[in-house]
Amino acid sequence: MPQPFQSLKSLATLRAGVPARDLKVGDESVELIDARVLTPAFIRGGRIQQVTSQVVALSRDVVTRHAVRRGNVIVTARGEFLAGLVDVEPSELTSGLPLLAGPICHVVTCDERGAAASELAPEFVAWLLGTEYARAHMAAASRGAAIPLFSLEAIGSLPVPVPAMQEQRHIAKVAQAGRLLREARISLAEIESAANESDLVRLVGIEA
Amino acid sequence: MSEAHSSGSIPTIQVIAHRLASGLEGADRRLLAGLYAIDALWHAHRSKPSQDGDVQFPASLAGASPIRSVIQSATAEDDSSQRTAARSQKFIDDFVSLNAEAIGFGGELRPERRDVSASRLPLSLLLELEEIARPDRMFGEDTRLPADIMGVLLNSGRDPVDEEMRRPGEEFSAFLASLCPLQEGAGVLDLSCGTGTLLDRLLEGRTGVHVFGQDQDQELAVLSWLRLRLHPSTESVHVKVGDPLRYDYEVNARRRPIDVAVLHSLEFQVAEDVSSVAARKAKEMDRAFEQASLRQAKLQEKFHLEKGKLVYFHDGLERAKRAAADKSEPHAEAEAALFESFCRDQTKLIASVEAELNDARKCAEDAALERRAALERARRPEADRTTKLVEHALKTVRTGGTVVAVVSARHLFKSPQVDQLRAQGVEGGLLDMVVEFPRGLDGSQERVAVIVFRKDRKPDPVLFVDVSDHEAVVASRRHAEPEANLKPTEKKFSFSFSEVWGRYRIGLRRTRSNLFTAEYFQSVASICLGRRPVASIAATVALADLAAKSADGRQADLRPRQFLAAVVQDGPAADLPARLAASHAAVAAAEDGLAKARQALGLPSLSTSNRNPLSPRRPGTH
Repeated sequence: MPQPFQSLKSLATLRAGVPARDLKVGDESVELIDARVLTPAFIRGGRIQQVTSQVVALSRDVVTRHAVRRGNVIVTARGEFLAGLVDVEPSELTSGLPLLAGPICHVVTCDERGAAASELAPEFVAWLLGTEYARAHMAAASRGAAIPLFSLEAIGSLPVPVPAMQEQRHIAKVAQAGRLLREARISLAEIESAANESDLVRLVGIEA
Repeated sequence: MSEAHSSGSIPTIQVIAHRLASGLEGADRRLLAGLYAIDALWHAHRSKPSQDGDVQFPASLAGASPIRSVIQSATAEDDSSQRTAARSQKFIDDFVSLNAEAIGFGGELRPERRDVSASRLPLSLLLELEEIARPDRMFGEDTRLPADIMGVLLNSGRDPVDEEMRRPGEEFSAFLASLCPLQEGAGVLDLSCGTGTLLDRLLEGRTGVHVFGQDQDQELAVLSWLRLRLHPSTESVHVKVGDPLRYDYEVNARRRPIDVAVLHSLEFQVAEDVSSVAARKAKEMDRAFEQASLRQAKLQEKFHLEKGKLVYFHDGLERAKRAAADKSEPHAEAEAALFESFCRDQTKLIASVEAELNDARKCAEDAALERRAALERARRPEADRTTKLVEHALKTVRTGGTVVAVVSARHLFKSPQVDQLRAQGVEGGLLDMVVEFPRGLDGSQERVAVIVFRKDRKPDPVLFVDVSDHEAVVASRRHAEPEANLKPTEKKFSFSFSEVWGRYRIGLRRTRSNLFTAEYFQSVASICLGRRPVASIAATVALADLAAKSADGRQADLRPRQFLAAVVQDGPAADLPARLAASHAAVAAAEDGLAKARQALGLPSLSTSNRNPLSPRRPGTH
């Protein structure tokens, strides 16, 4: 029997990134921990890339509250709607430091909700949120004229299909394979172009 | 630093640092560290008097240890923290006076008493220190502990003394130590030893080392001496107070060779370019010469005028004398006496005017000479202090020795200073390595460079390293050595608050850039010791190429970046066929991967020849 779509907020936990006011350097009297802050610039190809933003020193409870974990899906809160999966331990992306979702990011967590096991695989959610379907929904649900703003309610209202867990994982694998093929072809095209250029330059006798 | 040990009763260094952290804030750390070190020496002396026979302690101790003595006095008098600080400083001053010669004072250098009226030393902190880090217990567990604890008191947590005094911190010192080859029995000299952090790093894992330290700051030199006396790896410790260029170690170098000399010249930088200073000086001397000449001219005129007056008075006197002799005028004698008095006064006046004139003439000559000298300097400025320190260090180390110089990166740029460094390094065949760091290292506002010279080195290529890109440096090491050479605590990347806190709290100062982590410095050390080219980071250059002059007739500068650019440009074009082949293989593999993944999902292949469109699904269902 076909399963109806369900809203994302009924299947996953959504929370906002660290507020800008909490990013100021902490009071000298409290214990501070060095961390890196995630921004949309590090969301590429459906995953979070190596984070090289400036290290900041924040209080322990701020870091605890907003730290990102493996399996989280990070989405942007304004501008171009992007989604990226944290598919490794966050400290591997940050040279060993904790990673926090920044002020213009939201975090989607497909963890256990009460007694029920998660119905959504994180990699499936990351793929789904990167599709044109999700982008169209967010464009319609966003606020703001010049720069679209994506609230937690808007993201949570996205109707998501819930196939079987194994099928979700397969779908995510196919998406990932497609992405890798695309990147490989782009790389090949760039190298072919460089080789072509090099041949032409050599042909006319121009020295490098 | 000593590893954490498993004894249940003795806390680890990390625990000691944690327990003292809150008390150290606002306390006078130098005072506390000095008092603790003297306390440790006292305990060591008690247990083995023959080994420390040359150290004397104030008679006021009366059998109690220094810290206990201060605590007892402070408790009896109900002292405030300021009063405790003053009492502690007095004790340290007395100790330093008793041991002045051993510490390195002498001649015109005498111990000075520091003003501690604004310092605080809470009694509770002394009690805490005595409870958890009493030296006799520490010595029994590990002879390194008291020296390490002194390092913690000086530099752990916020506001480390090394940063305040602009000396290399723990991580940077560890990197510098990795560049210094030291065998047992070797001699090492630090020309700006600060609190002894760099020497402490150099001694790690070594024994029987003869240590020589020097610092212009008296208090730092004393702290250095105390810390190194506590260190079990030292065979002998000599610390000198004062400017290395005035009070040098050449005599000691002849008696006990120095294998490695380290100098840290950031704090001695000239505020502005020497040639512009000299040009301004030349202008000042121009004005001074003009004024002196004007004064000279006026005085010359006055001299002639007064001389004229004297001639008139002389004539008057002669006339009066003649009239007196002839008795032709009734008041001739009185007139003669008057003229004689005028002549005497006028002679005195002329003498003083003449003296002034000579003085003015001399001033004008001096101004002219200074002006000429300033113009010479403006055209060819003198070597600044850094160059002199490098020359001094090179003279002091033995044949085959090493000099590691931490200098401002501006010394790498094309300038007269570089010409002098180049003359020493390149033409003399001494230059071994140049490493350029980004801003923010150890609190420095400018870029820092480390230049390594080795006497009698083989004619190997010189290594140039630019480690400004922190991420690239760390990534290059991870790529080259994915699992090797990382200590177990650094291999783990799991996110644990206590682990992160323990790892980054001690020795890492948040007032400095947080990019300069232990991993960063280990990566830099790995690149430097490997002496291999690394794309965008390190390049090797033959000495002959370095000696080539640039188009304007002056030698090219020593910045690593110019040599790295050539490496990057040569790379890609050379291996295009290999990259093409690899890229084709990658595309084929990716196509295969996608086809298999689609097959597992029951989807047809994407190839257009056998693709059937999928039947659409009803919206809202799947």
